[in-house]
Amino acid sequence: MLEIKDVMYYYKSQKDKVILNHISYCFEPGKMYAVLGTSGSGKTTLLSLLAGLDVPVEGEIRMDGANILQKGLNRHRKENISLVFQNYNLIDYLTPVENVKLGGKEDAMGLLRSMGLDETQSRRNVMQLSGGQQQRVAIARALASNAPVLLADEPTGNLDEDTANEIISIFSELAHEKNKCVIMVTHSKELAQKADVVLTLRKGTVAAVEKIALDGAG
Amino acid sequence: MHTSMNVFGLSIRSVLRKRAKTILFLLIIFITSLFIFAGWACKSASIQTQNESKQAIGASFRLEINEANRSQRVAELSKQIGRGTNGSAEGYHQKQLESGDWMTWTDNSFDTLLMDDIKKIAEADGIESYNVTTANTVVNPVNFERIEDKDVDQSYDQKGVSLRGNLSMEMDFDVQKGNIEVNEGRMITPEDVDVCVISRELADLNGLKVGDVLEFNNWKERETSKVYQAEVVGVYDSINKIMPIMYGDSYRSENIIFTDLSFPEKPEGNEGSPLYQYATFVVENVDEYETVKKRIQAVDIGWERYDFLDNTGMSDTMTENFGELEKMSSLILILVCVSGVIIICLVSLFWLKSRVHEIGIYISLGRTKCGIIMQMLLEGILVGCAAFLLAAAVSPIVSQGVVGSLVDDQIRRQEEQEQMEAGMVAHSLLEDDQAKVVGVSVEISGNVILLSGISVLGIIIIAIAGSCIFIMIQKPKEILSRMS
Repeated sequence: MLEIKDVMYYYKSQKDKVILNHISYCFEPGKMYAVLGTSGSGKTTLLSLLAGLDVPVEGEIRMDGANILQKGLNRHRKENISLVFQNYNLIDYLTPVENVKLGGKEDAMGLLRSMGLDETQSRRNVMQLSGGQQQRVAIARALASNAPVLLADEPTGNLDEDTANEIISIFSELAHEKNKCVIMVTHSKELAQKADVVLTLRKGTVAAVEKIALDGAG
Repeated sequence: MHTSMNVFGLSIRSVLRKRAKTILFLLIIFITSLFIFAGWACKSASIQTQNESKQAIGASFRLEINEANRSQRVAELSKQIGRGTNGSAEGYHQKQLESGDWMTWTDNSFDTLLMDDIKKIAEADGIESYNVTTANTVVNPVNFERIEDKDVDQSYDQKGVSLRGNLSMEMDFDVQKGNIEVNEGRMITPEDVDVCVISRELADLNGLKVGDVLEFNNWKERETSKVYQAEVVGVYDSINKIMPIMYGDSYRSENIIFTDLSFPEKPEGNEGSPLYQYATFVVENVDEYETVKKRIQAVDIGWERYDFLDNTGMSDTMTENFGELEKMSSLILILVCVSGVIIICLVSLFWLKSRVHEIGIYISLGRTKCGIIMQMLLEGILVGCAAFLLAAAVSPIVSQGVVGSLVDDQIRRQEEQEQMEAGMVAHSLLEDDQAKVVGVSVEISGNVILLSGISVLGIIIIAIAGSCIFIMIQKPKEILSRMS
């Protein structure tokens, strides 16, 4: 489905410092992936390339077998990718409903309800919600586009343990029940263990791929 | 059906919910709009003033007798008749009195403008109409009383009234200047014969009305000279007193009687020998003034006999001064537009930098950069519309103030220029009053609103599009990395 093929990436100003060094991997629908790695290991760069926010220096990113550059990166982001960030990234002057509508034409209120937000919460300013609620809004917005791939960059970084677990459960549900391909970048080994597959990046290469039994992921 | 947020929906929410930003932006565009309004209003007002000046002052020519040539002709005819000889030639007369002194005089035929010459000029291409005015002719009022100042010794006065004949009374310079208005009856037309228009004061004193007949004869031979009749066709009211050309009640404003062109010579005792003092030629198209002037100068007449006044000095001065006003208003517009673009661009840039987070979110959601810039433009235009409407409401006052001060400045310059040119530029009777500009009216017309609207819209689009360049040149990843 979403495939990275022999991808190499470095900053043009620092050609000697390779961020991703000829890595390849194929992400499949219906699975939740966790990308682990220390700071500077290339996790966020990998996510940017998958999201079409940047292009590799060498190699290519493929979606359903086609290079994402063929359709255009904007279209790739709009049709194939949903992004969830650590700091939620909601538009501060919009309500939760309006923020979700930014994501796409899906039933915004229904999505928010499914994320546990009631009518009142959904109509007030988004900045008046708690961190956990804001992240739920961000996930609802990601789902509004009905994109097959959900990319999450440290989605639980700003949340307490209980809320973080709830969010991970939602991701897991999305992968297993809605057949989404969920790719989550995290530095928490504990959370990573709840994914179906854990990719560990080290010095720009995939150092390990750990597959966890589906039974344990639910 | 569920709908996603469109650009307009986002723009209007941003404008309404980010109030501090909106109010500040609104103020900036409001002030810019006011100056734009003033600039366009000023430009419009200055052009209007220039045209009016041309029409009032410059769009006519006047023919008069040249005094130097007159003296030369007198000298030549005197020489032709011979020193110490009684005789007459071409309207010039010399006669030795019993006392031994010599008396010389000229008659109307010597001093008049020649009708043939006037008609030749009037036939030139570009002349719309013309008028001929006789010299003020003092005659004796036979069947009515004149206005007299009882406190003034009348022994040196001719005890008459003044007749002023016109081919077309509506073109008389006192009518043109607005000094008099015919509010009862009508003015005299070229077809009229033996008619007159009298002053309100004279009518009231004698109980005269339109249709009455006045009688006149030669003031020097009151008892014996032939009496001529003229029917009263109108009564004029004096808005400003007509300036008398000589001292005495015969020439006072109320005693001036307008007649048809050929009447004054009759009671004066010179029937068939008129004294035409001025001929005025109105130019059809103001813009062809100089071309028409050249055509007239090419007409084959004895030009040495005449002064041909074209008001060039004054009309050039007016054009120059109000041309300066137009230049100044253009300069204001350019300055306001450039500074408006720079200020709005900088403010917009500042806000865009504070909205990197928002822009990053849009990019991550797959929105194109053009779509994001479109939203920023739409926000600017929405605020701009509100600011423009507010500015339009108060612009008449501000524009009047700005234009008024500019015009005052121009008038002051004009007066300084006139003082400098005093005695150097020939002035005609028409110039003095009409050349003065006492103010200017500023109208915020539909055209001014349209031009101002286009200018403000242009400024907003250029400024915001300019400030959005930084969005265009940055990669999505760079924007997203800045937002975190």
